[in-house]
Amino acid sequence: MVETRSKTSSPQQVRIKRGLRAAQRHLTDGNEVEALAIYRKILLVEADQEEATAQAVLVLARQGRFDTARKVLERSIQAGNQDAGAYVSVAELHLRSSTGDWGAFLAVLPMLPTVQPAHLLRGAWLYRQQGCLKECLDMLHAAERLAPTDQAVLMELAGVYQEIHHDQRAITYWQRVIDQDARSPLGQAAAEDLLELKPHIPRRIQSSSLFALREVAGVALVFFLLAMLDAGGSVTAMALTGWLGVGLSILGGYLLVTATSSPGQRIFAPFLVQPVAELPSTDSRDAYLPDMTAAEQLAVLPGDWRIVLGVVGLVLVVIAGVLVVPHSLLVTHETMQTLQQGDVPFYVQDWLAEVMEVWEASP
Amino acid sequence: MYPLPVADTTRLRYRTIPWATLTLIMINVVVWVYTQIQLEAVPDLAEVYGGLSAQQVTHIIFGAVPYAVQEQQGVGAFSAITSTFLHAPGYLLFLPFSWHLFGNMVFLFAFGRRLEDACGPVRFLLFYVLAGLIASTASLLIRGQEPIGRLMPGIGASGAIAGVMGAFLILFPGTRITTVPLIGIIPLPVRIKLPALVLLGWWLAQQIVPAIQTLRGDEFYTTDFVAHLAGFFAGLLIFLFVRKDVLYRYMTGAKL
Repeated sequence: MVETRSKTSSPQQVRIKRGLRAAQRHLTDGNEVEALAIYRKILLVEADQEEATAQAVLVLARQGRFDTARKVLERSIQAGNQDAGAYVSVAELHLRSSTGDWGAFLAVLPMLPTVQPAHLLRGAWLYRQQGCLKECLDMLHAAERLAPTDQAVLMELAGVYQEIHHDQRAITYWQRVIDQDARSPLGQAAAEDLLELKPHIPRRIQSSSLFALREVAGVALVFFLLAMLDAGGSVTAMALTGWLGVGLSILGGYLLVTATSSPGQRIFAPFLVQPVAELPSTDSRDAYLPDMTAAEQLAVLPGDWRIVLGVVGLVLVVIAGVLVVPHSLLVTHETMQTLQQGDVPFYVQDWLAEVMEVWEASP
Repeated sequence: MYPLPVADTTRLRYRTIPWATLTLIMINVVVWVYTQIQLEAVPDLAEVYGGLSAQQVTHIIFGAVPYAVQEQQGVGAFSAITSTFLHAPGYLLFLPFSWHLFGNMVFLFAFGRRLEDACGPVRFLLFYVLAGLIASTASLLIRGQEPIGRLMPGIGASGAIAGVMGAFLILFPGTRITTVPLIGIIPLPVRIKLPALVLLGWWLAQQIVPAIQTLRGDEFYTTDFVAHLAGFFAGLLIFLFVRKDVLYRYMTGAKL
């Protein structure tokens, strides 16, 4: 485009400059119509005149004439205007009026010689608004190449990576923002975001039965130790009911964990699962999912079933509790009754007698 | 000089108020105050039971006494849990004050807050109970073999708190803990930040030799070092209770 652009002669340049000054005066006086007329004349002589284009577009946009503004910009670009801001503005105006191929204007943005990180940031923002997160990231990386220490660019990259649940990359970029200047507003915001990050875990982990079972193992261990102590501190002395209780605690615990864990938790009974629209795999799509939040909110296990499973699980855990500590429940009941009567359990006297015996026997 | 850990000032990721930790501290304090009132208010029992105070009787019934567990008396298996809420009496400037309770609760607050954040309050409570249970069980089984040890009540939350410390060391070894240096019981007016690895490593090192001596029957300590050590290693079980994403990040080597 540079080679084909028409060159204006020097007297013309002088007239254009004079015209620009006159238009500026009109704008200062609030006479937008006069100013626009001058800009129009200038653009007829030199269609890619950057200042006239930019000012005309501003005035037109202020007047709500977005289509006209866009046409002015497009004509200017066709005539060889390589102002990156013009490209971004055209794309924005296209998006506003839902016309034309806005993406084409943004796609060439990184290749323009006049491009600045701010233009690329604006372009990336437009992509992000449209849910085109891959293109958004490409544009931000272009901005990063242009200005590797620009906090705004790094911050935006962190934000997009967080949005697509690439937590580790988001953390890296926030850290880079902080490394540039921790005391700047963006540095402080990055530190805040870094601490506030609630990382996303892939669906395969989210729904892993193994992950649920580890919590169940914790519950079962509590029951096992109680059962062993109830049997006088010996595993071999544990009654069959004790082992049954430990087994029930595993089943009940699993139901409870399933009922109370995240909606994506896979359960042992697939027939209970509510059919939902198949979600694209987070991993295979590299997480470029603009509507991830909605996807996460899908209840795989219906709420009613959750309540049923929770209640059944709780009942099983209570039964397991009774089965693992039958002796302890009994003696505790007796002890509490004795204490409520203001007395002390009889065995304390036996204990005391044994203490005295040991005391006397000790050298 | 002893560095008393008072706070882990790292920002929390999920919750701002550690409800479970604060509830545990509150329960421990309330139970101690209750047993203290018992000590003061019911002196008659002291005469009836051969010089035992009502508080001592409470410790025998609800503390972890191997004799009671073996004989299936008192509160049986529950004593392994109830004992973690009992603390020794004490005085400071003629006023009732338990250094045992104070020390334990300070450690619990310093290390429990962030661990609760990594687990969620319910799972943290479950972990705390399990760590306490493991510490008490180990202590009950070991002391159950000795003629004197089997009659002694084991009390205190230190086994469960050792579990919290062990878990903290596993998950957040690099975290810097604010400590107050103590000379005897007098705190110095300075704050020193020490990495958890150094602080807890040092604490662990202090427990090992006495615990081995206790296990070999060479020495008799009033402090239950075996329970501390068992509780500390029960900290490994934290992986059964941490949030899925915390576990996922730990497994993938990401920042916790």
